[in-house]
Amino acid sequence: MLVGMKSVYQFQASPLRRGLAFLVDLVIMNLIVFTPFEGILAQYAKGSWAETLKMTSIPSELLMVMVCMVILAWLYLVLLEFLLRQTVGMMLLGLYVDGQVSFWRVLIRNLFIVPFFPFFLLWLVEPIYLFFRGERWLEHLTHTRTVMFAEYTP
Amino acid sequence: MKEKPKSRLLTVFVVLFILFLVGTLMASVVSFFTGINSNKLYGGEGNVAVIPLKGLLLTDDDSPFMGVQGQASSTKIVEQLEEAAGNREIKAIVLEINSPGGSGVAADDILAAMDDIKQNKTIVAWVRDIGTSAAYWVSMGTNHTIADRLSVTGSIGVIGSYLEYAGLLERFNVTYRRLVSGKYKDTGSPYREITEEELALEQQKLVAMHDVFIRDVAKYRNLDVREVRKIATGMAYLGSEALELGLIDEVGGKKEVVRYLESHLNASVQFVDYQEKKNVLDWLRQLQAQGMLKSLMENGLFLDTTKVPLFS
Repeated sequence: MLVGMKSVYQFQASPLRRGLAFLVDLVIMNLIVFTPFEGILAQYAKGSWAETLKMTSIPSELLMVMVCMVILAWLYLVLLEFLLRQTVGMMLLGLYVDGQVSFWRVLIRNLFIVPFFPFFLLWLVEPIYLFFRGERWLEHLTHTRTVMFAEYTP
Repeated sequence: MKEKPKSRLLTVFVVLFILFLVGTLMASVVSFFTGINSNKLYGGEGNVAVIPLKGLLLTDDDSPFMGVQGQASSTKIVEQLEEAAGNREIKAIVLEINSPGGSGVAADDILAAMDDIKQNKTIVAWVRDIGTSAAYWVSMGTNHTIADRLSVTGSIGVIGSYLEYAGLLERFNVTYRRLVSGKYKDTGSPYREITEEELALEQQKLVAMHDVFIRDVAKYRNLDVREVRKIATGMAYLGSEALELGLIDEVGGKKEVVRYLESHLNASVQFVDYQEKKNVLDWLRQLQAQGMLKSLMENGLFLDTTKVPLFS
């Protein structure tokens, strides 16, 4: 290594940074992707909490809206990770998707966003796996990783 | 990762824009198939609902006049009134009127809804530039009517006039071939000259409608029917004149509306606009309707053959 030359190192992204990046993505999804559905959802939010809790099943219209929203949120993550290898949140926190990135692999690595059985079990599995192994279980399955880069000048 | 930051940002914007468009389309499709109208989201923070009555008043907004001018639909206004009536946060309703009038049936619909609502919630009519004929009829059904001293109101009368093209058709050697069963079926058709008998019959209907209007003015404004008949010439009055004639309760503007409501509610007033939010599809539909109508009128293909007498 020559003195004065920059070297770029790749690190496994820390869970804190990943969490923050995901929060940013949630805000963006809420602002842009979910906004068109606000009016419809508000029709259901009109009643009191007690009334909402009394609902024994999800109305089919609400289910349809939820499916649309999930598809859009999934597409947000998949398209940006596939095209740019990072979402807006990841951009702001300097994170990238690395490894064998392909459309189908990115699609699977983001399956955790689907709130239906059995995928919502991933909300438990993924953080635990991340805590012990430093990567998510779906990342392990798809041979992709979330990394960050650091420059070092000797 | 080697891409330029600019092109990366552009990609982000394109993806977000496409997702927003797809989301809007999905929401519209869901609304269409489930009957949930996301536009019917009224309200916000406040205790007084402001419901607009602007433009020609008709029962529905898919009439032949659609797009020609700002239009008020009695169906929507009644819906907004009922929504405000059922909202516990809303203590009073302001009907903001800026309309030359329209259909008597539409006015009747709104009056019927207000008759029930005003037992529990105060309704104030606030006449802006114009509140004549059917719009004035509606204003009478509120608890209190306030109009600017220079606004135009009243015009208690009925109009059923229409353009007759019989002479024009004759000049161009176009024949109206009359095929009817029931001798009055095509009364009021613009393609032939109206007969004296038909004219008298039509006039009778207008007089009957006028009489209902006059009786309602007397009932709602607590006036003598004979006195109302004298002023029910179809003439529009300035706000100050209308006050002298007993057609309104107060001359003024927003300040007077707030003052009246605050004294009535014993609370400070915070307005909430009860207006339908338009989504992208509604906007496109309106543009299309306006464009089509304009094109039809420019090409002389638009003939209004509706014979509904208007209170305007």
